[in-house]
Amino acid sequence: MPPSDSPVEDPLTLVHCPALRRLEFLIAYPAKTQRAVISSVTSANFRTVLFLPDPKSDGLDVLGSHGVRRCLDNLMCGLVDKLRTLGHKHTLELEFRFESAKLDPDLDFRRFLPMFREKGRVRISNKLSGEVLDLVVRISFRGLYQVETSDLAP
Amino acid sequence: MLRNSSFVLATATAFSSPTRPFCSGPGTRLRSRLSPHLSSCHPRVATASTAEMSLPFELLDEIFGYLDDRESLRTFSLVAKSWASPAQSRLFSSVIITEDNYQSWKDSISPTNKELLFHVRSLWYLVLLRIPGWNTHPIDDFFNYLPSFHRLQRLSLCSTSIKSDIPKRLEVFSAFRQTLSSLTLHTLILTWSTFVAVADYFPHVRDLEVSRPIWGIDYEQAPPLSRPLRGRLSIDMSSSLALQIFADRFSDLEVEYDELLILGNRISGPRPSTCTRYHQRIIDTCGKSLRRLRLGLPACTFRCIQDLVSIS
Repeated sequence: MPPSDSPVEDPLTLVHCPALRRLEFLIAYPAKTQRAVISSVTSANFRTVLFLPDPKSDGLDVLGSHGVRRCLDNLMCGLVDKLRTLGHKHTLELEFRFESAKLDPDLDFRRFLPMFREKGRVRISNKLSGEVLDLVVRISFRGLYQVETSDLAP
Repeated sequence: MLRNSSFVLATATAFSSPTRPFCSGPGTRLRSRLSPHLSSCHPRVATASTAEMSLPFELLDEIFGYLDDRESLRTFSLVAKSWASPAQSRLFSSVIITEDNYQSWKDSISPTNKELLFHVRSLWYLVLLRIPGWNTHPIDDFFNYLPSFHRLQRLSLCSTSIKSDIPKRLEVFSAFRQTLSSLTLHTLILTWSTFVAVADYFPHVRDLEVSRPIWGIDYEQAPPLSRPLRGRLSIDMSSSLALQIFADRFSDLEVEYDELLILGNRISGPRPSTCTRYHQRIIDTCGKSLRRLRLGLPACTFRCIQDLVSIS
């Protein structure tokens, strides 16, 4: 198996998908390759990035890592800023959908992706139990800023 | 079972009219089958045994929808002629044929039994390419059944081969040409021209899944599409060679897929990283119409772990 920094691989790009609204990954967290795919989105209709990890994996442990959160935060903020310059006016949503993991009540999700929450919306859901944790600070919509306090407890 | 029986009888009582003629046959058989339970039922339910049991198909179908086990449905299908069709409609709505039940399927259901096969809406054919002891290819026999599936909406063909002459005899699928909305081709041996001909034959298929195909040598040119392929395409290739063949030929097709699912993180081959190039070609072919993209890229799990180690 090649190392992650293998020079032979060009990442996928989605610049030729102008109508793309939704991007889904069957993993808990984007590696370098998937981060490049997300960064390449240029669709003005883009709405959602969804992560659907393997039901057996416990992706919430991964999301508990400060380094992972910071990396995701920068990635999503960069995407929102780029799309805004291209005329994007929708609320961008980042969703993690788990099947078996329990939402850890001790994990302080209000600190989760703080910069991106200024610009978009983070949703963490458990498909089986129906638990949903919405993390929204502000929704930017057509140039107006609307304050929301819908940090729902799991 | 008792609760379900009581429910059916109670409902039948509520909808039956005392002024209509008594239907002795079904009522008698029903009484004999359910009499042990009737004494414990509500008086109105007990009188239902002497009332007419002839209900519209839609009502029986709705009532039978509350039965949650196949054994009850089998029992009710034998109660009365008028109950047979709605019970069979539920029993046969989804059929899975494997090598374990294929012989009994063949022995008990004739290919020309259109009345029964009319109920099949979802059909999974999971019979291995060859069954030990069989001289003939099982799918050849199975294709004799296809003209009787008049309401088929979902067809899954798995672990078999589609002969290369199928494009010249597509009429075997004609019974469900207008009803089929979902087609899955899983672990099939087929040629590209056969794949294109079959995909193009069904105008209303909105969900096409091509999973782990083994592409045969093509001696024919792929026929031109009568219309762009639309809806959702799901692909899962087992090797980089299969992916390359698919990507190369797919880029020549006119497609307007709005959903594309690229799975296949079990892909094999000497250089899985080259798969990205073929995935890119498939995505670009869908390009303008694409609204939803799902990716399960090869070796992503390994890279994800490496990446996490580096940033955590």
